[in-house]
Amino acid sequence: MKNPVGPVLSMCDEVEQVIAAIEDDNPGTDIEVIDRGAYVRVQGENEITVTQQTLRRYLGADFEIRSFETMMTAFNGRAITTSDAITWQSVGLRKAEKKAATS
Amino acid sequence: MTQELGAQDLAPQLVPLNAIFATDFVQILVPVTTANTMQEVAAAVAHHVEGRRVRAQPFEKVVIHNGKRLPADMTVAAAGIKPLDHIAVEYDIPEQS
Amino acid sequence: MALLKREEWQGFVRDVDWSYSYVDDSAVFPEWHCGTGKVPREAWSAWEEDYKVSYPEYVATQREKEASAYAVKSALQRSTTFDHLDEGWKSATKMHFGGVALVEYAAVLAELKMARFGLNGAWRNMATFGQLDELRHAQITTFFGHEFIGKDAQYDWTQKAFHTNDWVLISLRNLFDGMMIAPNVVDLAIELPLTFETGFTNLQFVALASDALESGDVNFANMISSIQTDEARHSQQGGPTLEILVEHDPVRAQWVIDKAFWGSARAFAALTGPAMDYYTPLEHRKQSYREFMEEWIIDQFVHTIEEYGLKKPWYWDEFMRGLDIWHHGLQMGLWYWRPTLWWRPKAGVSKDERAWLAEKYPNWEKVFGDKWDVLIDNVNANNLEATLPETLPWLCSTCHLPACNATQSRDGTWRVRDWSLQYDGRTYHFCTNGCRQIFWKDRDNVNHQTLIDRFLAGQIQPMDVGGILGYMGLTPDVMGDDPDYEAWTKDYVGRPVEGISLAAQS
Repeated sequence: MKNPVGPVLSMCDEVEQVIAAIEDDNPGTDIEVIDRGAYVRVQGENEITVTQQTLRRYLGADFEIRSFETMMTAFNGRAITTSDAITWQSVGLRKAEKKAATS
Repeated sequence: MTQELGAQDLAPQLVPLNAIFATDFVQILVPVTTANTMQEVAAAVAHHVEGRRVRAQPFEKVVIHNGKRLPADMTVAAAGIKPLDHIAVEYDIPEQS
Repeated sequence: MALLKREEWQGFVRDVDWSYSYVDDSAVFPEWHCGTGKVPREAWSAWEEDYKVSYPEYVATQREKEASAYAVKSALQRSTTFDHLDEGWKSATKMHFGGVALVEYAAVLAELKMARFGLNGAWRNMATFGQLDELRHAQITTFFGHEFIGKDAQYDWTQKAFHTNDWVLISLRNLFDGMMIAPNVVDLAIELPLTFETGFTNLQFVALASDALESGDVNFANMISSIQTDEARHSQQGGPTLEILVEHDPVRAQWVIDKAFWGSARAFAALTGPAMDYYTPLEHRKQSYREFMEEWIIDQFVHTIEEYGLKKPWYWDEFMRGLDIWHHGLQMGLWYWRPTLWWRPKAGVSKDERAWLAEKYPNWEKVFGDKWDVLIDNVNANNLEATLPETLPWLCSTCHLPACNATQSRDGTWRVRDWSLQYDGRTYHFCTNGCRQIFWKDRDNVNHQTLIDRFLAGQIQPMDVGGILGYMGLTPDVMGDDPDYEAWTKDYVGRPVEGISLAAQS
């Protein structure tokens, strides 16, 4: 992967479900999972997203996306948080998007 | 005009040095005096390292200062070694032919 | 009733910049704190964080994190887990508690400075959460370490360490004062959140958690992981700041990163390096320090700074070569000067451990093996005296760590070299060319005096080993010693020995 982006999850009971949710939310992207015991890297090329809707399907209807932070010890790229989703984007892509938005 | 004392007549002054002994892993602080000879300086540096971290070898030790090997009987004052100067102490290993 | 989405209201409460009519902008945002430099004041209006959080969200999430960390702690308090931890691993945690607890407090002050002087409302908002984070880290680290004092007096240094003049602490104070206390907020955001927190802290708080978990220290693994979830968020103050600085003053941006990166790399070589490659029991090591550095720093961080349009620092080759050397030299120094530590440093050079080191670091035997062999032979000859220091290692005038970095000559031999310079009528010595160069560029900054400077100025009395240990605050009950000499020397008992300390042979 040239520009891997995505969360680094700390070891917790929900890791497998979170990975499944990320895979569901990024159908066209290869999701790489690197397991180092205490932490698991989940990454895709340039941009990946996870939504509250999908997370709720795996983690229960009361899951709040803000709680994702309790599992994320680090991440690669820029993390863009909204009240429905988190997107990890490479710095290059983020810059290009911002530029396009202002011009 | 006042009289200047020669190096021989000056009371010894403390000269703290930054020293490395041969293949040791670290620079160390070694205090010597202006009156010490290079042989004594080499021994003072070796005391902290030789046989402790670097195996003792049966060769003379030589002091190197500013890239120059200094004679064993030369004093610190005569060699112009100043406080906080760096010296290296090396085994004088005869060249094998 | 449906609540408004955060995106629908956050701008109104967060963007609280306005034009001052009673005072000048420079009275509210003085240059010496704000450091806008060549960046036009109005350029900061573009500052925007990607990682957004509101106060209600913040409070709810932090509460969950705290509840979970303390639940693990109280569950384990009733178990015997701690008593079964390896001494080496415990040392890694003592080093962490003492070296980190009050740095977290210094980070509170740094975040508060950004919360007040940050040049955009969004930035100040984020820093406000950041200072609450750091307050939590100072508290949780101090509290978790404190729990063990009853079992082991060395844990008392969790709180005590930064109040002493121990050389390790002088080095860390120098680094963090330079990174957190001294700089204006622009430099601060790039040194602390961007370089230190997105780069290096991951090594000590995420990567080390792997070793912690393998070593059976679930509580510690959980604590540092929990802390790092905060860091991951507030470290995001770095990106938007860097973006703006790079656009207007790329030379300054590069220098600030170069300096912070180098200082961090030196400190982590001293602390994380030995913890990963020597203190963590061999069977519990997930990866080597070098491999963790490659994963977290070389790949991830360097990729990031290049994406921002910056270059690898000028010292890159020296830094990369140092990955195989620095922490091994420091490990030998920590071990040799072990009475100056508040933990029990494991030597970690039994035959199996050496085989692992040689596999991970192909030059290890060549550079360090011969010296460990002499130390081993002295231990086996029952001459511990020869393995204890009678003078100080030379401490670098930039990083304040022992100058112990061998480099390879053209003829293939490895030697420690002198890196020195003359300035203002005196000679300064450095551990590396990088430290020498940074000192020169920063030479008019006020730097802490090294322990050597203090010793030579007569501040340490009496001028002997006892005086030095007293000055550093070390008392016999905490003074470091090897936890188990036999563990790493028994493999070598009975081998032929020559050239060891004369005292042993007499």
